[in-house]
Amino acid sequence: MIKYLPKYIILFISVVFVQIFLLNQVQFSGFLNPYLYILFILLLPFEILNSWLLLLAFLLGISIDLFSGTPGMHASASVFMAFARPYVLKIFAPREGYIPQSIPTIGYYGAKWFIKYALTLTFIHHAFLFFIEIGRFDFFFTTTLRIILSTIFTMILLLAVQLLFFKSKK
Amino acid sequence: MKKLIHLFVKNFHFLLFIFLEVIAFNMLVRYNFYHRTTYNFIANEVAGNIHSMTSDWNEYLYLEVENDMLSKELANLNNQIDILTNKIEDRDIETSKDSSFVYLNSRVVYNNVSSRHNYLILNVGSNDGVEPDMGVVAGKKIVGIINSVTKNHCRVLSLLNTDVHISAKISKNNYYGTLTWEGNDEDEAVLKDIPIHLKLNKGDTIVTSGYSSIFPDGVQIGTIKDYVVKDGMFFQVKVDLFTEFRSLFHVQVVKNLHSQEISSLMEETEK
Repeated sequence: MIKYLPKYIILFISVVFVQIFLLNQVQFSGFLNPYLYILFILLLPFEILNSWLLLLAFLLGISIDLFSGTPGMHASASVFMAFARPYVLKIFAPREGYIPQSIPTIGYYGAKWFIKYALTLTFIHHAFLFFIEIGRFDFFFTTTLRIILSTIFTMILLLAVQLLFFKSKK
Repeated sequence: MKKLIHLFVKNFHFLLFIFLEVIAFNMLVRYNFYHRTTYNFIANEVAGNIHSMTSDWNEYLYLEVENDMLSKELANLNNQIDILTNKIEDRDIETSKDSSFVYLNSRVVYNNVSSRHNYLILNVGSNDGVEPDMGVVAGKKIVGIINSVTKNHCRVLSLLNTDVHISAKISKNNYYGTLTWEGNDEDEAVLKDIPIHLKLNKGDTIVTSGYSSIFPDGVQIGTIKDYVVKDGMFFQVKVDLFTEFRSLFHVQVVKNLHSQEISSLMEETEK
């Protein structure tokens, strides 16, 4: 576990940087708001304690919030996603279980598994985030459309990053 | 206790989740203008509903007090109507009957009915043009005579004062006599010097005579309650007074615009 620590610190810093200085600066469209930073939560090891997961997600969310001027918004969404992660992992567990000391990447478990796993959590995160952002259910269909489009966009980015930087994990 | 700790440890991550979300939402509401307004809006709605529910309930609880207050208010308003009607009647007296009298509204600030020399204090004085020996009435009913005046107040010897003598007459036949109070019953005065040949009835009205410059003609005093022959020549008439001396509040000072002329004429004759 400890061998991953520097890598995760680097990952943390890089997702925050990419999110703040790249993705938040680019105005794609009102309906396309990719939030790549959740990659950090997705890639944390299987064996991590749930409490640590929550704390790290909170820290990540707060960091994003700090730079985008929305205190609490990303933090709450990230914590919610982190809370959901163990249950999602349980649902999509392979028949023989997860390989000890592995991390949830395409390299270990294949693209199909990763898409199922990441899509679910991304959707959870985005749904929570966008409804928190709008603060009410008045514009339900518009918000839902934003969630779906942004989830797809984030998913594409997640896959691209995976394929570019995590090629030879196995 | 052991079980409780076990439960706590087992659900620690859930509690942590709740805890972190509370912090996040707290920040969200506290630092984001949009979310603060949304939160306030929802909070106001919820609080408003609860408040209106409790106030509905309270209304039931305080119905009795409310009723009390309303009935008092009603009595008050009725009194005011009385006062206003009296005022309107006064105006009638003032304009139609006797234009040499002017009425000045005032309020009773001190009132007493329990001694033999009762007096009132009014909130008008020499600044308002009040002088001694002016009459005081309440509506159309007699109250007393002003005895001393300061800048903003004046002292009124009420009819319930054994020193007060008022020229009064029987309304139906205009025979007049002197009305005084005997000092016993606050509802009863005595009219003297009524000639014995007159036919009196119980219930006849006694009014002021208008022969003094103090009161205009026809200010209501009371009704005949009883009469006896005194000294063989005159009736002594017991008069049931109209005025409720205990409840005087708004009274009017009667100014006679010609009082100086009249008194100077009187003085001349006396010489």
